[in-house]
Amino acid sequence: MKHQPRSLALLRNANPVSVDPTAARSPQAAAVFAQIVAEPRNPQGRLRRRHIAIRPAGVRGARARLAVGAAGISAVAAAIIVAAISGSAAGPAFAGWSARPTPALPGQIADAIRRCGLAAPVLVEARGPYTAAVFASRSGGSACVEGPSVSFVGSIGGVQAPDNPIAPNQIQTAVASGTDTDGQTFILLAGRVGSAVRSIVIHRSDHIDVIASIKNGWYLAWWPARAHATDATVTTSGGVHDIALPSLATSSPASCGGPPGSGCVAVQGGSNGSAGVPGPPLIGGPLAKPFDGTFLLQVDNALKVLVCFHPPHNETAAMQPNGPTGPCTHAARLTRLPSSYPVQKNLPEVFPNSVWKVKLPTGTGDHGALVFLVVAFGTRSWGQSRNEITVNR
Amino acid sequence: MFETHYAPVHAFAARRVGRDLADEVTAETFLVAWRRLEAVPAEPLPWLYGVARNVVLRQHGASARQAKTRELIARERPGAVADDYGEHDGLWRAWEQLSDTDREVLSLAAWEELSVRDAARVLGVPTSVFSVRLHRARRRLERHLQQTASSSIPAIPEAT
Repeated sequence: MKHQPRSLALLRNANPVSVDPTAARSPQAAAVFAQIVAEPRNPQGRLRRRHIAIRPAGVRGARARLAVGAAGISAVAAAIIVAAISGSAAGPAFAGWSARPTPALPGQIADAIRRCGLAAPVLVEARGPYTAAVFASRSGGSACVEGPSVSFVGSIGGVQAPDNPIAPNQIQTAVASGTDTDGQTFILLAGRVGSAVRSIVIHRSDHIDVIASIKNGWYLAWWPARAHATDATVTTSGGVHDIALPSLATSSPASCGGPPGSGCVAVQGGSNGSAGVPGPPLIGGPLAKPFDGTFLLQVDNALKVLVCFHPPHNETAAMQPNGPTGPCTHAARLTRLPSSYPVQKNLPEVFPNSVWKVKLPTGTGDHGALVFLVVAFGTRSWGQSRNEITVNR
Repeated sequence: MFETHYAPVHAFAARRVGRDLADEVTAETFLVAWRRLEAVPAEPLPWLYGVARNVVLRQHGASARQAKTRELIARERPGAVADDYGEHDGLWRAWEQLSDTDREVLSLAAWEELSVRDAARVLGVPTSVFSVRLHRARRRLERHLQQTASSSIPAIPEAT
């Protein structure tokens, strides 16, 4: 048996806060989770203080968007062919629907699968009292939504059969719309995703973000069409990408038309991008105060970083990222932080392989803010990113 | 990752800044993780503790942190069994005399129950450095415990 020093045993016994195993399932945790996944994974200003306001799950305010120069996600044309839509018990339109998947009640999934009439789903999710599932088949798959006011089954066409692997960064999107028993429209997105895709968040015009379920190489999300969806943020192992949604998903509910019990089908082509690339260069901020005539800068996914000094006397130029600049210098990537550098000691572990050392231009004095234009060059597929940073001394 | 590690990270934060601010620190910690998903190691907890520690250091000064810990301990002393009171009182008196560094090292070992290797990761120091710090912190705690010992505190065996 491992020796337990008496002092540590005493301390352990006097632990002031024990771990609450149910904490992750609290409403507070759910709200935090929804807020976090709705945040763009833009590391700019990573070291700046940033608060997350605790708000109800799925609701968010205006957010800064990350501009991605090149498309990293290839969305492939696909369609959901609506096989059958029928209403069941009447009720308020999509009452209890949740923007993020929720834990299912006992028996909820089994009951829904039985009503879908298909076997062996590859993905099942609950959103309040509604259950949705994806069933893979040799030709593609089918999607099903069951709930208090809706019973929907559609075959997912246009996606590659599950036997055919798809690229890690690829998403094959099929979109459909249906109505519940009150004639209220909902939009459904489903399809296959590559192995690098970690999350898909659909942004609606009413600032409610819909979090898709992803499992077994498939994804699914659906939402009441009270507000139109604007675009989506896809997180892959290589970065974060904003993608356009198929036209049916972004159009107003009325454009789908049709009486209750009907569905409409859209075939949507998407932008072609390179699969398997690590992501666009992302320029962060300085890591610490300048030290010894240098400063450390954080840039992810860059092969080369060029830093150009804005002459301080030319404030107009300094305000324009692409405006005239002073002398430029190449930054050097650091594999480890110099021990003498006055930064937090565990930064290398938290931010590996993304620290660049930049020499301050000579003749700039020792005081005042310096403005730099940073140009980060990524792999050929991702091009370059530019941003301005200010170094306070 | 969120579901598995939310509770321990929240407890880590609560031990250092109190329950009121723990939500904020935990949210900030997982936001960093979300933005740095590719950097999160296979065993994420020590990494998450390291991020949470940075958030605490950045957002809450050392003095506020100490005050919170004292307040927390005063309010939530566990082991509220009559026989335990004397023992914990002595422990907390000894605890009060320790430096921040000693408390941090001891709490990672005792409350977060981390191995030396994982605790060293949290602090960003080599394992050997953490081992030395832990050894010394334990010795100092034991010395303070002996000095403040009442008849209810058993003798502390020599550290091995």
